[in-house]
Amino acid sequence: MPTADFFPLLLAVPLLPLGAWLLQVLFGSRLPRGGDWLPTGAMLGAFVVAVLLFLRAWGLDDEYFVWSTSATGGGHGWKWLVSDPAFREGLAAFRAGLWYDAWTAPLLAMVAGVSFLVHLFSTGYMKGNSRYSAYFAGLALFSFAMLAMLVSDNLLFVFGFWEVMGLCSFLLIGHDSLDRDNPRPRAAAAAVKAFLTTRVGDVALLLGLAMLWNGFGTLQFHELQVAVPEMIERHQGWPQWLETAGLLVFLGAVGKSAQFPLHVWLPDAMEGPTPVSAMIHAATMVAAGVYLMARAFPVLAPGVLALVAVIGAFTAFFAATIALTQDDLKKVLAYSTISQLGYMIAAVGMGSPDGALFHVFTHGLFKAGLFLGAGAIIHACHHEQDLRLLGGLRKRMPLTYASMLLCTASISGVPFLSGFYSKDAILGFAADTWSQGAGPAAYLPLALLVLAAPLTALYMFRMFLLTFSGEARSEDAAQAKEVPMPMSVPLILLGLGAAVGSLLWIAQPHPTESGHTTATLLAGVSLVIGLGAALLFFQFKKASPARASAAFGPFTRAARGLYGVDHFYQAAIVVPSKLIGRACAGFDRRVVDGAVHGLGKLAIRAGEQLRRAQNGRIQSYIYLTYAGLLALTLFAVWRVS
Amino acid sequence: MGLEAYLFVSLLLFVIGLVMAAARRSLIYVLIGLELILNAANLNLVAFQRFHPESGLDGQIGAIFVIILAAAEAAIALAIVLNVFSRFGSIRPDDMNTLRD
Amino acid sequence: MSGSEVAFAIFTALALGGALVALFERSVVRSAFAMFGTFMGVAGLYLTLGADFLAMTQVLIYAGGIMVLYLFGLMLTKPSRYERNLRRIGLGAALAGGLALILLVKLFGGMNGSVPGPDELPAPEPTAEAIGLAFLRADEWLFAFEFASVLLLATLVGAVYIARRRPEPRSEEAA
Repeated sequence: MPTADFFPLLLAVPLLPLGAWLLQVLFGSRLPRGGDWLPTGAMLGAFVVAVLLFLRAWGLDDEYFVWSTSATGGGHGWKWLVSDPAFREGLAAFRAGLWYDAWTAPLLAMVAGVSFLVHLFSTGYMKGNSRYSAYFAGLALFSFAMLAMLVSDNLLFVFGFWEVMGLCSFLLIGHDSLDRDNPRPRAAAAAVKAFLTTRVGDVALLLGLAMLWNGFGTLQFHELQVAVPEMIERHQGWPQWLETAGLLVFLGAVGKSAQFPLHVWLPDAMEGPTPVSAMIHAATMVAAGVYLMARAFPVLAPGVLALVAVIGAFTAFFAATIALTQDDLKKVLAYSTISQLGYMIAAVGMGSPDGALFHVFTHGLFKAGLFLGAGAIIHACHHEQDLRLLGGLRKRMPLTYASMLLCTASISGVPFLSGFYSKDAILGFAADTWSQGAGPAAYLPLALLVLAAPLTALYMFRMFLLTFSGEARSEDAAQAKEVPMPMSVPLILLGLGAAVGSLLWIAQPHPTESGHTTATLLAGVSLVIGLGAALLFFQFKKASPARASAAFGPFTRAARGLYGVDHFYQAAIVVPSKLIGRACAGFDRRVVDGAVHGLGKLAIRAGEQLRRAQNGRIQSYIYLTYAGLLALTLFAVWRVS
Repeated sequence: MGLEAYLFVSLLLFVIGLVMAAARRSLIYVLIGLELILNAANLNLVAFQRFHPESGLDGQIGAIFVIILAAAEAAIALAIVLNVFSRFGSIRPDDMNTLRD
Repeated sequence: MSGSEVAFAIFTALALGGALVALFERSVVRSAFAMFGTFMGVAGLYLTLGADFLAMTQVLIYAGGIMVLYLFGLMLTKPSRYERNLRRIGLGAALAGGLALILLVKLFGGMNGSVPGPDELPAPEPTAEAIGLAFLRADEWLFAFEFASVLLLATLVGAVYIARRRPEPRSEEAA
């Protein structure tokens, strides 16, 4: 067990970026270089501390270790909302503390590292941006929230930092909408869409947490682990409300991790600067939903888990088919992210939070590498990101090429790279679910995930080959140059991480032997099919991709149209909401404002009429006085009689 | 004569005062109209006092105070009229309309 | 017709006649002098009501003081000798008449003999001494009396101040 001197070190990890953010917000624009060295340096510090902690954890019991500051009521935990100790046997006091276990250790180091590299990359990528220091402030606040979420020991803190991340995501997606030279209103629309869509899930999550608190009087991981089985024993089964609460928590993850049907915001979020996409919308924040599911795993009832598995597997397949049809470099990566998140969610649903977080870890490394590589390409090609207009970049950008190759191979599941191991584990659990269960909930996940696996290899290598091989198909691509130092270093490091990152995961998941064998077999076949098809289509040009897509006719068209989900939301929610909004605005303008303005006009008109009486003639006033006197007398006579 | 007779006379004086204050085209007559109104009120006071002997002398004393106030009012009002005259060169009420809208 | 009724008729005629002349007479000086008649008539009516001290006060202050003041005012302000017409007298008369009508209706509808007739009243007594004592007794009117005297003093000072104020530039061009 780690000792108490862990505490300040662990606290320092989130506090370093928080301090950087504070300074950046207050003084950033007045510092030299827009203050970019401040958050970047802070992130480097956080990364070093996280690695130190990781190394200490590495030497400990490699099965599971847990260190919590509030587990025993002593230590450095915090205690809030303390109420009558007799109430609920003392559970009603809200306790919070830090938490560090075999999941936290690698994830914390990974997030801090990716975040640092993204900061470093951004110093090159965002150079000359009109809101340079605001951008770095957003990055720093985001890093703080993500790191703080990872070291929280209770679901409420997870939720709180989750919301801060949502805010940062909103700010950074919409970053370009306020650009001084080249404002992009679409970025603002995308930011609003992302914020509102995830909000749907967040509301559900908050309700779920409220139900859990109401039922258990605690939201701490380790207490829930104990309390839930007790509750089930007392009830002889899962109570109805607990199932509902689990479902609501899952809905929160659906929103944040862009699962079907709330996935629509993530592709639009690519309007943000590419390093932001790399960090927030690929490596870290979207994985928060998976992290939440893993932490809330004890409260998920079997029925909910089955749904989780099916939704995750469906999303993995569904997004993979869309990714195949996209022509925008970043959109391909976005749908690929949704698909990979589907793998992770499915893993949770199949009872393996270990496998899910393992994939979060490796995916964070290679997807960050892919996005930063995409950023490098976009930067080098003067913001050209259409795959049809790229090509032939292998010789011009060798570093980026190497890094992207490693990452693409990793995500596609090439053996001995990190993605292979994590995906293998998930497929192994799927195979176990197939063999151990019955009904559609048992075999759907494996079927969909296995279908998605070759598609992953196909769309990733399609993107990769269209970008790097062949001839340049546009002026911008023909003149591309390798990116300079602060941008190339993160690419190299993340490429290496994508290759060997899986070795750093402490809590290796263990599917059964037979499941593992099946999974390896399936993954190998999938890779051969996917990679083979990609090479045939795009490297050796032996087959025409156009003919192939024509063969799938309506299916291709549906995928190109994103299966109509966006249109459905537009027609079913956005348009009616806008109509209602417009109606309310009209009501406000005509009736409410009309009443106010009408009163004002009435006063003005009355004043215009009355000013005639104000003619300055004393005796006119005397007449008026008499009229008043007459009226008063009449009134008095009427009252008296 | 009964109380009604005095009240009737008082009423007529009051009405004549009202019309004078409203209709004559000189500030001084507006003021004189006011004096008539005050006299009518005084007559009322004294008549009621006379026909209600249990009230003591209060009616008459009230009337004396009214006379005192009337004297004070006349002094101030005439001072104002003189000032108005020196400013506007006239004491016709219609000429004093600088406060109009 | 008793003596008191004759006296009442004479004084009423004097008061109302003076008032009407003052209202309708176009010559400002003549209508001002008609007001003397009114004030004297009212003083007479006070006498018939047994208010001898008040009648003397009325003659002294109204007829001797206030009216003289108004005459001075008239002379100092050089009014045009004749007013052309009465301004909107119809409206004023209508309003005042309406008021009078209501009060008349109330007057003759509301008495119902609640007031003693003139014959049942005790004979009037001289009031000068009683009023003088009432003014000087601390538990009756002393405070109001002193207050009235202060008021008169303030009025005097104020009137002098207002009347003697420096004329403003506009009055110079008028003068």
